[in-house]
Amino acid sequence: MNTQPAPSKRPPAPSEAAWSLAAERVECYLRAHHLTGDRQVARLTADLIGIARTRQRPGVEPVTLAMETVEACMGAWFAHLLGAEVADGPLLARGRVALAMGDVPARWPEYFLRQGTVPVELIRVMREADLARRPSVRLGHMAPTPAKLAVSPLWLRLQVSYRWPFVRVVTGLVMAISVLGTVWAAGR
Amino acid sequence: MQLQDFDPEQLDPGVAFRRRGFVGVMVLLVLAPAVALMADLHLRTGYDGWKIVHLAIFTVLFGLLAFGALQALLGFMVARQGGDACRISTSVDWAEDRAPIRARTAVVMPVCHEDAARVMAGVRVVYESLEADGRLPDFDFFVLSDSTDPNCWVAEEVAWAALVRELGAAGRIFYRKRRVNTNRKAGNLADFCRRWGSHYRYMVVLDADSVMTGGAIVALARMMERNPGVGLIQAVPRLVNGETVFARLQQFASRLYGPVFTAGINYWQLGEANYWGHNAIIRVAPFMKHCALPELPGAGPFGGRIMSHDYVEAALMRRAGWQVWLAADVEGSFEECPANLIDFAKRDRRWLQGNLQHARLVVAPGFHPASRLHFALGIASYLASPFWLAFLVLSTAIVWRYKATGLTPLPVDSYAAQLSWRFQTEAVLLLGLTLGLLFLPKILALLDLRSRPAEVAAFGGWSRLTGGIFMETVLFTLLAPVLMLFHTKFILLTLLRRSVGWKTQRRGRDGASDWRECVSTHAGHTALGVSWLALAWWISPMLAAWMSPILAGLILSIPVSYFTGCAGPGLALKRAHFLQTPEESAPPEELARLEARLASSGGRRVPSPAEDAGLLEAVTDPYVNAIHLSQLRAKDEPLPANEVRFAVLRERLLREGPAALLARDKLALMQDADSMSRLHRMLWAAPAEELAAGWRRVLERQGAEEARAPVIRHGARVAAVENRIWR
Repeated sequence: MNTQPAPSKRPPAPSEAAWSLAAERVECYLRAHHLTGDRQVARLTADLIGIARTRQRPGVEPVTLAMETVEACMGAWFAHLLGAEVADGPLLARGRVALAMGDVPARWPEYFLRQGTVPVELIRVMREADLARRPSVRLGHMAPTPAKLAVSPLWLRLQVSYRWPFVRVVTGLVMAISVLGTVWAAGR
Repeated sequence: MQLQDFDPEQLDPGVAFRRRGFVGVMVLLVLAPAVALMADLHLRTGYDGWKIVHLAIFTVLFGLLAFGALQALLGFMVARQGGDACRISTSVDWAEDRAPIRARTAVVMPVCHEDAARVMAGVRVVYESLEADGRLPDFDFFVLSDSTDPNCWVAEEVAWAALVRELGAAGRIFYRKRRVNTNRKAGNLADFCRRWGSHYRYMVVLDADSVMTGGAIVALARMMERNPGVGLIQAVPRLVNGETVFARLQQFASRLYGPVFTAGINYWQLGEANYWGHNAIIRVAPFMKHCALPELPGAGPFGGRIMSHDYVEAALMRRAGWQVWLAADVEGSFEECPANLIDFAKRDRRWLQGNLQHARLVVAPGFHPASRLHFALGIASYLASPFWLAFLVLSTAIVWRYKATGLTPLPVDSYAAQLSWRFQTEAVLLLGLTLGLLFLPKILALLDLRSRPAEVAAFGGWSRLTGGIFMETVLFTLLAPVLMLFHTKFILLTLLRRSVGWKTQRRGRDGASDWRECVSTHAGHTALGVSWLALAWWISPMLAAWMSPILAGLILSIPVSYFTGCAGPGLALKRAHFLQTPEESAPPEELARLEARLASSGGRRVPSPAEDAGLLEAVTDPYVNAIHLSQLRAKDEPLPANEVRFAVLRERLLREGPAALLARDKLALMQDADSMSRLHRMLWAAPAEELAAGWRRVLERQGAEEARAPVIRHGARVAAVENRIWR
């Protein structure tokens, strides 16, 4: 009879080491956005990890929770700056493009992910930076007219011979030998 | 340029007819005595079948030579008279016509696996030049990519985004990457026309290595505005930025001899000129209506898709009644040239295949006779090589037959009783005539330059100019037989539908051809040259002496190809102002800016990025990922089967690394917006133990490197991800 206690179905709470790894990942991700100020990056990381800790779900790794939090915060910030209602995948991409095109991390580092009042210039820069903007597609007609070529029966026969490599090679050799032979015979 | 005094639409067709007739008669007048001399030489030593074929080949080759030389002569003559009255540029009153161009114009640059930094630097130069001229509002720019290599694709996107950011050109410079590369460059342009063509009245087509000044583009647009019956105007691109000896030889020769040739070409082509594929302005509406390329019936090499599109598009435009002009005197049109003989031959291989295909169109109904002539001359320019080879072989065989039979050639009297020249005199006369035609364009170009001392100084002065001509003549004499063998081989392989295998494609660090590539490519040429020399010497030392310039080119092909492909000697010549062109001694502002730009972004020779670097970057880097996503089209209703396939591929990519996926699967992922978005999210949110080791190192490096880098680095951004990450 097994006297050992049955294993708990509830996964153990994430260790502090796991949260530390999550913080490293968040910091890495912020730096990948070209945020340079160590103190600011540390503060943002701590804030984001703090929020992530409140959103713990069983079986979800801290790093996943942390990055979900980063995404949610960035989505909300982009929605605020870009005047969007839904913070979905396309908005995240558009927001990141706007950050890059407006050089926002370098020009307004202190406002990165800050909700509330931000400079009007920052909003203008973000909203104007849209790489997906193109002239509207006006589909035009550009269909080729079939080539009208003078096709001789000899040409068609040559085309057929081109479909079989053996015939092609033999034809080429026979023609070459014929030409050389004719020239040779004429020269004798 | 002169004041407005020419209206192409009022041009009497008789003028073109008379000019072409004149050129034809002139060619015959030069050709006839040469053929007569050659025929007489053969007659006096006894005719046979070999000599009849020899004479026939000589007639073809000499005809082409005479036609080329006469074009230069005609160009020289019209230049002496102050320029041809029938030039498209003289249709515009340049002093008075300053009104804004109201027509929208697209500047399009189709690219495929080019250096992204160079491409965007070129676009930038053109953009800034138009901006400086105050003409920017009328122009939009499109970089049309057919690159399928993810590294090139991502590098292009990043470089484009950087360019747009630096110039503040959002909504002005666009990037488009086709998903399916149907019909190569012509298909790429057709795709642009179908989507956006109706927004624009004109499009200026540039190559990846082209540069045009704002002034040149505006001049072309103004000529189009002035002449509503003109469908296409081709500007003459000057070769620039050569560093190797080979490139500098080409740009020196084309810059020096080009003006007399292009003036001569315009003399007979008039409104039935040709299109060279780039540095040209096209009226979009007729182009869309008439210039879609048909597929030729039958299989390759002569059937299927048209490979060399430009000649055909010009012919189709002309067939529809639109004029096509060469603007020989528009300044500010530039392009770069292959750096070495082997690259030059590779480019010729593509052109040759395309030109041979035009044989089907020479007799196709509906084309203007001048268009047929363009097709025929294009074909003849390559067929001349096997003809030349056959001529040399027959010459050797004819001399050998005298040795084999033991008969001494005893010339009899000439068939023309009036000709009392000795046999040797006739031979020397024929040689003189041939050399005269070969050197005539050089002499005419020098005579033409005499009236422009400032330009002589820009070439480095008379001594360097004549020295350059001597060097160019010697080196091209050595290179020509090698090209003859290349072309002959390419024609035979094309007819057999075989591809040419290049053993290596490597380039030296300084841009030189690699020794191994030179040896493996030219070993056959050297062996043939040595064997031929031995044979010729055995037959007759005199024959060996006559053939020595040609055989020397073959025997020395390896060192000559290597030396002329090296940047070191080329740059030394540049410092000595040797083979100098006016564009080098006083570079136009646009070219100077291009060089400065390339120098600031790491120079022209950017190291090749590691395998999968583009994919890694597009997945990992938040900005590159976002730029990439901004250019992908989201699917409205994804197919469930595709969703499952992509889900499996995404998992494998992250867990096993990019090496676990096939190239086509990686490309498919990169073309799928949903997958690229998910991959970025999954990568950053995944616990380290669930990722392949390489991804973990990429993430670590991201945080460390990116904070120190500008937001988007221009140019070779992708090269930064190093191969060792995945080792």
